[in-house]
Amino acid sequence: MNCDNFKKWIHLNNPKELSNAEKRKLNDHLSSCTACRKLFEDVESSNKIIQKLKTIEPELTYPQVLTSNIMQSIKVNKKSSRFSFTSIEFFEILFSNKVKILAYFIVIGLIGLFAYQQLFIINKLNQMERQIAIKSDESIVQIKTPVIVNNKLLMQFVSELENEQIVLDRKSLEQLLETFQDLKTDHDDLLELLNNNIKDLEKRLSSKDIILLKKFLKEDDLVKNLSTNL
Amino acid sequence: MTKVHSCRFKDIQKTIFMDQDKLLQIIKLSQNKDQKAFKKLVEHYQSYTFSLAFKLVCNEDDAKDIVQECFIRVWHHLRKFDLKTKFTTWLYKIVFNLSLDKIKVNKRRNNVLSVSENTAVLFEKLGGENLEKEVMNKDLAQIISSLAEELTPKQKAVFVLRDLQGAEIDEISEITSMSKGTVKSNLYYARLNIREKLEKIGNIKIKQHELR
Repeated sequence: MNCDNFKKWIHLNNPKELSNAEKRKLNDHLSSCTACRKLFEDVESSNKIIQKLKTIEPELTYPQVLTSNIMQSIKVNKKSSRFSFTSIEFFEILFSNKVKILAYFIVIGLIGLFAYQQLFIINKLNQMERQIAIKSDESIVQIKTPVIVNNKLLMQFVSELENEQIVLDRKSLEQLLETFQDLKTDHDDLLELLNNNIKDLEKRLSSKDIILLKKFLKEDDLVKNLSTNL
Repeated sequence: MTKVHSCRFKDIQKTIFMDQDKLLQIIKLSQNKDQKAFKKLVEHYQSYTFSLAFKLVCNEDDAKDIVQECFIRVWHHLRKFDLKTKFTTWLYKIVFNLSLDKIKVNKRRNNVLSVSENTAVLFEKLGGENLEKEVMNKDLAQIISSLAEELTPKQKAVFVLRDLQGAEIDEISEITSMSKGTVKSNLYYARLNIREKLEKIGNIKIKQHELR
């Protein structure tokens, strides 16, 4: 090793900066090299000045004021953060366990509610279907009872009614109307159609206007049977 | 100046040797946003952080700003603090980063002091007995600034942390996010430069004595 290598060690000769082996090598070199010995003494004397400097601490004037300012800044930040989070705080809250658990409960709740709603509608429709089947006289009325599980099928059913593809007797119509009113559906078109049909039937019964009935019912035989039955 | 209005030597010593159990309790409470506990934490460590910030930026107002910003950050990020690690190291890391930013800004403003005859007079004060009374904040700022004026911000930080604050190499490595080797290397160049600077000041002093 030459003197340049030891120059670095001389400057790093404070406690815990050199290993024991390095210290031994440095001491061996210092005992034999006067130039490095001179440098070592210079470094020691400058170290003494630095040691003096180390004992001086800057004076913190009015520390209470600084504490108060810090606490005030925190309170201000806290107040403003009621409405606006910092991005870090927002993500901390977003991914916190409490929020995760709450989100799971909300999702499970929503799925449960949706499933319950679907089951309730299907159940009601099936009930309606059964009631129509029982109460209507199959010998005189041709009934198509589709399983209405969604808006698309419902509208198809309405369309079929309008196009006279489905033919219902008075009781069936009343039953259907009642069922839909129970369901509290917002399918105003269907309700209006059913209501109108009942009115039409009543008119026909009173005036025995077969022509109007023909508009609603498709087959002449059924019309006859229906009118006599009603 | 009365002790109520200032915080120096003994107060800082007290903060460094704060009871660890008590400190942990205060930190845990502060992590749960307990403002009273946090106030205690601020009271205990503000002088400690001010000391480092002052020695790094060499300006009282800037140092106070850094302390304030430091504790605001502590308040917001204390939940991330790992209780197994040393709190002062974590605190120093925040002060170090804030001070480094400030040094860079100040350097852009050319707020650099140079070694002057006035600085040599200030160094003479270091030989005095009652340093606390004789060396004012301004003097200390000028002494450190003149010694470290040619150092890079990292060299200055390593010098201040090791030689003026007495931090261990491992701790400095953690605070500055540098390897131990890089810390030692920066420390070597800092000390080399400072020794040369002290020699220059010594020459000024000799000339002043000759003139008298």
